Amino acid sequence: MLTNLLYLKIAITMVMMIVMLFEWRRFKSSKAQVLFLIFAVMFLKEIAFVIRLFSIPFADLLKGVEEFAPVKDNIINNLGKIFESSNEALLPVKASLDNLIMVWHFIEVFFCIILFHLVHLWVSLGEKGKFRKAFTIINTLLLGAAVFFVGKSGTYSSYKWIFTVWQSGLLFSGIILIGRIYKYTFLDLKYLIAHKLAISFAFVPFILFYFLNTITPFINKPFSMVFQITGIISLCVFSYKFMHFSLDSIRNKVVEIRKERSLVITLLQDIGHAMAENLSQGIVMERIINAALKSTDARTGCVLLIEERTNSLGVEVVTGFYPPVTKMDLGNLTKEKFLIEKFKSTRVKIGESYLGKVAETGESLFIRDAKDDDRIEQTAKGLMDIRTVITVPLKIQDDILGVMSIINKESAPVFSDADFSLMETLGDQAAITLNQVKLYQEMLEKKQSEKELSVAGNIQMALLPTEFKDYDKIDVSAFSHAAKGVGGDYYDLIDFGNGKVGIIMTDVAGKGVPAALIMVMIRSVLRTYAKEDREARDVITTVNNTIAGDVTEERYATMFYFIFDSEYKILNYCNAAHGPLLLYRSNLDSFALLDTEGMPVGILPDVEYGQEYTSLHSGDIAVLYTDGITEAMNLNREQFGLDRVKKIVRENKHLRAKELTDMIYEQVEEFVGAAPQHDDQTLLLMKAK
Amino acid sequence: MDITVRENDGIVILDINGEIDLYNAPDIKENIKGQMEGGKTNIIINLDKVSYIDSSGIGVLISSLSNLKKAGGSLKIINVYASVRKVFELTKLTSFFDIYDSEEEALTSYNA
Repeated sequence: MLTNLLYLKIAITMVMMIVMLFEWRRFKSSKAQVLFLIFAVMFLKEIAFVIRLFSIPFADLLKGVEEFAPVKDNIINNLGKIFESSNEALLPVKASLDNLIMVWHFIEVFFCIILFHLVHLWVSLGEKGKFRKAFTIINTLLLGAAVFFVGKSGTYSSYKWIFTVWQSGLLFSGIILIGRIYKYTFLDLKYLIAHKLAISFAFVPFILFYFLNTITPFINKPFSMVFQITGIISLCVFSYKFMHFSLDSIRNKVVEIRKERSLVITLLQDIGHAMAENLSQGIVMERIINAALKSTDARTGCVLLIEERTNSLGVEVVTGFYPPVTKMDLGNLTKEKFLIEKFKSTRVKIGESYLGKVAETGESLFIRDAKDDDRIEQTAKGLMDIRTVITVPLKIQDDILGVMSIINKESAPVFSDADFSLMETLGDQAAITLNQVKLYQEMLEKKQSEKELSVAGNIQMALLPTEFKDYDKIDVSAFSHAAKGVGGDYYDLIDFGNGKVGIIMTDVAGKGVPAALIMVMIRSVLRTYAKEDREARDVITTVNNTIAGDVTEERYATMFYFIFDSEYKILNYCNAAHGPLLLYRSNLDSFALLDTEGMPVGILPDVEYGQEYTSLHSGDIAVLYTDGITEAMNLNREQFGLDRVKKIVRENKHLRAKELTDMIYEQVEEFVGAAPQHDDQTLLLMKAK
Repeated sequence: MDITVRENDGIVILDINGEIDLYNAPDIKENIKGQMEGGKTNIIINLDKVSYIDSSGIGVLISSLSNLKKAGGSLKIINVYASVRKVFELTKLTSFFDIYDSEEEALTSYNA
């Protein structure tokens, strides 16, 4: 019976040793490695124990442990006579085998208890709570000292009592550890909290093993072996469970990561749909916080965004009852509804409270146990106690846009590390989305302003006459080609009747809507003030005095204005620093440049402008242009220049005004080719009939 | 376009290098505004290294001159050559600005 039990004990340890060896190789798990070593040493110890039996003289054996006599006989019968004949020779081996068993006890303790405590200590050091840390350190030091003492205490027989006391201590410590599972101490080992009940069951046989080991020397009866085997089986069950749980925790991690990934993908799709439908920052933030609540199983959450103007955080969206960050004395008014409204209207100064600190530092905050944490102020005690908090910054690179925060988990007392990691991912996603929404809205605004600009451009172009009626004595044609959007070129013809016309060519400095506005101003003044009996100088002086006071100095315009009396063919002109009028005199076949004194309009009021009169003949051609024509540049950086205009006019003087302007336009286009033009190209041509 | 700021006896000299156009002309205005906020209202602009100036650039010089005058200061322009001088002449603003041929001349004009 006893022999069989002894064999069973050896067999079990061997099987477990092999099982753990396989587990170790299969999962590359350090836990399986440790357990393999435990069982391997245990197996060697049992073998050593059997060998030791043969080294004890028969007399000793009968005096000491009588129950092993049949064992020995059995083994001798089974293994032959070799051991019997050399019994005496094996005597010196006895002492070393005793030591081997001693070493086993040492290693057993080291792996099963001390290592466990060291892990516990290592995890605890990362936690707050001075008491827990101190307790774990003292606990570990005590156990370490005990092991050291045991190792020093010589042979098995002489330290039996000390060994017993020490093992009792271990038992006690084991019981305390089980007790601490229910006091959150085991939160440090996440897979233990997940299966705390199962772990407790696994620990009971573990302790039973030690208990039985402890009392075996005192019972000294045959069935003590049964206790020992029960102990070993319990340890096997524990080892199996332990492996099982550690594998489970890996599986759980994989599941968590998959969950996180699928959540982020769903969220991205969700946001994509939201963006396609109607993109508002509030809606997108609401979707993100809802995704956060759903996936972490949090009770309430909120998103706060930084308002740069006030250097504070404003509540963008809040779901559920999120307690205010600062305490208020409300008397009996502490109603939930009131507090929710209070929070919604809160401005959290950056750097103040836990939310403001995250916004300031840009570092995530995870307060597992917030109950007694002095970073958290319990502002709605009784209504919404803050038990656990995760707050993450919404930041893109170093630019912090706001914070997202969740409070209290529904299904567990505290948030898990997986929840924290998920929140950090969501925080990043929220920041990216926020940025996209911002860019998208900027793009929309830009589009809107481009639209307005093109409307302004259309209005401006509509103010430029494109068709001129057939006058008896003159033939007029013009074109204006805007370089980009809204330009600042403006020309006009005012028909005074009696064969008199006023013609203007202006170029406003700058571009875009401001330039167009100045152009419209000039047009209004001109259209109101220019009359057939008002000389060119008067008109320009009035335009200048009207614009100069109202408009900033850098918005000025060059302007050429003339009045032509086609009846008498007299031209009265005045130039405010515009390009001189190019006049082709048909009778002389030569060109003249008509110019007068004066600076651009809009700079200074009361500028003195000059004016001149000249007479034209039939066939004379007057050309007004802006520098977009003369300075039109091709890819070789050559300018079109006035000479090319002269050449076209001279060679085609017989053509109608419209044909001439078309030709000039075509030749300018041909000249510049693919070179981009930065200035409007405007030209007006009047031919005297 | 680059602007380098020097100071000589309380008078700020801006050395401008490059082309002055619609897109960078406001930088000059901002710079002069900054000088005015720092209490410097006598400014010399050196156009020696400027190859091109457009109407916006002229506009900025006009408004800066006007702002400086309002603040009791002045704007003088030195080293106006070639195409830049042509632009000044075309817009008939040569007499509107205080233009000097050299830095020494501009500086001595303050002492006179």
